[in-house]
Amino acid sequence: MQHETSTDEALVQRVQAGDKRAFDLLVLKYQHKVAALVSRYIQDKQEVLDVAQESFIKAYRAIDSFRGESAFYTWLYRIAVNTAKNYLVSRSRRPPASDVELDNEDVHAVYSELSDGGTPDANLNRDRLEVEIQNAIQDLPEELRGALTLREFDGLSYEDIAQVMDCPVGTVRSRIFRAREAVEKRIRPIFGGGE
Amino acid sequence: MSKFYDKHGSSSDDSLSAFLDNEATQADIDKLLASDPMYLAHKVDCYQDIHQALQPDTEVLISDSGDFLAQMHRKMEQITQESNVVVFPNQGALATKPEKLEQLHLPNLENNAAHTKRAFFSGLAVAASVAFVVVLGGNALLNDDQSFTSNNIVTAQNSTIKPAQPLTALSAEEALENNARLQNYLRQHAQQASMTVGQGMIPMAKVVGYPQGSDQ
Repeated sequence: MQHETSTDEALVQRVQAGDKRAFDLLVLKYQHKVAALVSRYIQDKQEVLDVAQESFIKAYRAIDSFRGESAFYTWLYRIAVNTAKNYLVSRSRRPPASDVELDNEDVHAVYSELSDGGTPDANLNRDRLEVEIQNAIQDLPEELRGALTLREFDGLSYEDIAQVMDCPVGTVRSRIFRAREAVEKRIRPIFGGGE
Repeated sequence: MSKFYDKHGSSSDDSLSAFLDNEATQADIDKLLASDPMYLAHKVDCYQDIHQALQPDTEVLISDSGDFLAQMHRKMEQITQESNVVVFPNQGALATKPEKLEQLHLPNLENNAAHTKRAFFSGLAVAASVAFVVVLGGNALLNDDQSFTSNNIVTAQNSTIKPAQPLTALSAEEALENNARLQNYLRQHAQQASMTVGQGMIPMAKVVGYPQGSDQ
């Protein structure tokens, strides 16, 4: 968590100094979490994306006022919640009676019943992709699969994983990266992606 | 799309992996800032797919991070154009800087008042001059009794104009002469009118069409 705060603060300072690319990194990092948070207020998927983008735009325009008294993601989530509520009010829809919990890890969980689910083709592709990723992870060497699972499934930090696996933090970092690269190589042909 | 390699041959992918896990260092940040954002967005999508496969109860709301980022940039640009305000944070002071009032071309109230006063007095002077001339001229006219003596009145008796005679009393020769004089008068009148009226061709046409008598 120390890394997160320090890297976020460093990026915010760069944005405040006029480096727009630094804000792009913050967007890439928090876009899914912000969208998941907004989806607790708004069900339509396209509206969720619009409100999430609007939240980032508001954050960017107001970033000069961010003084680092709270963590960046807390500040960003507050903006997203207010933007979602204002959106509902503007559409004459009632926002939820109580605020959602602004827990960084909890935001990951977005239940599928809140969304429209997508088209049958998209769902089929998604299912196929998930199966392929599961197979790829099963085929990984034990140390790579263990590191990736502890990170993605259990949400442990690199330091905690290093203690569990009894190896240096740098090794954990390398294993997780190699595991992701190996999985990506397996799923790349499905969507015709490449570098 | 291309990944960025540092001098040690390490790619930005490694840095992105750590960055998304909140484990990035300052060197990772520098490496990511030097990378193509669209390439990073593509990698983020791949890593998010892996995350979602291991967390089946989550849903991927943003399937194309590059598109999300591009759309956001377009909206920011649109807002900037609409508000005509620079939104870059380092230029925030410029965006909120008020206009300098002294640069606006407001009329100088002091000069304007002086001008109004001057115009009022000049108008008053003109009106007084006209009134003075009218009064003076009127007095001169009324006091000059000589100008209205009976000697200056032209009477019909002293004039050379012959009184009109009935047509029946004229001879054929005199009637012909009178008609010629009348036609000459009308022609001259029409020519004069064509130079002053502007629609002079119309009276001329009337003259041409006027009955000239049996001799013409």
